[in-house]
Amino acid sequence: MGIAALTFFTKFAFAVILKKVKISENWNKRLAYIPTAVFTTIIVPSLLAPNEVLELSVRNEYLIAGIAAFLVAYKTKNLAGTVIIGISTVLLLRILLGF
Amino acid sequence: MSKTDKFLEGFKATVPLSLGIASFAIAYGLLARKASLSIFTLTLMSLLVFAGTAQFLTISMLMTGTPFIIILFTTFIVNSRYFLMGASLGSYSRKWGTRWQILLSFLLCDESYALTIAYFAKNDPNRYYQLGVSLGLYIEWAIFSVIGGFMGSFLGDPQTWGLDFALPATFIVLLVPMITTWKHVLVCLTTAVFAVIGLLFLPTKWYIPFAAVLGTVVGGVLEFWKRK
Repeated sequence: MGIAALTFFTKFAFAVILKKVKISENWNKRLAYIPTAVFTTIIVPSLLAPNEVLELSVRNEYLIAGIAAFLVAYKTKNLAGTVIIGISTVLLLRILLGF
Repeated sequence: MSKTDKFLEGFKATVPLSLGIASFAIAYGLLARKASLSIFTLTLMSLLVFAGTAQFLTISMLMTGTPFIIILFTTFIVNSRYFLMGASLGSYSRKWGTRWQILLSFLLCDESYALTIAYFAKNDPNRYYQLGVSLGLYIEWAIFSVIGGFMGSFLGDPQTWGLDFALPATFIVLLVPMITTWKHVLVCLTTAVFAVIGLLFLPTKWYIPFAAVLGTVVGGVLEFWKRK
């Protein structure tokens, strides 16, 4: 319950605070960097440190599958394809190479 | 275009995302069962919290017997990105009145944010579109959480099926189309560096607000310099 309330608060707070403030076109352009920064922040550690410890190694299946997923996403922009390739890469590395 | 058309357009826009959401929700359901949450509790959590990353974190912390106050605090940190997302969508939603803001804020999630902000950048910012996107994802999230919960007893460990990678893959495919200019590339790279530095030197999950805010500042500064 606490987590639900808190999540709602964080989602809602700024939408309301900013209701009072007029956002200029320039600020809108700057806010456009938020998603890029946030998603990078979530992705990079999940690939480089899947177990909370930095693993810059070819034995890190998340890193390899992440690179594969990036390539597929860049070429196709297709979510289903990217997820399937990503998951398959992780599975293959684990099954065939025993990562 | 009528309200219904806009709503349906938003609803349909979630279809390509459904595999990612479904596998993510199923993985959540599986893990929640492993953490001995009942089907009822895990569904309630999906309906009330509706924030995948926060739910996963909560589950993993519940499994390791983390004190409630730490779970709350970590959730707050991970959710701090919604401050920024709310701020960015707030420039549209403030015109629509408080009721709409409450409804759309409750239904806000990473994926609905990404779809909506991308759509609003190119099209008429329509609240019914955002509602369609949000409700589509919300319903799907709830349904597949339940399915995942039921599957929990059959499948066992989601790692065996590689489903643990569904989350990073989903985020990657959401990020890549956003990188449209060299400035976004620079923001990406600097944020990555900040995230790793934060991961190494900051406690727990503090690297998330740290890197996200610094990365956004870098983008803002680049935007400012270009105009001069």
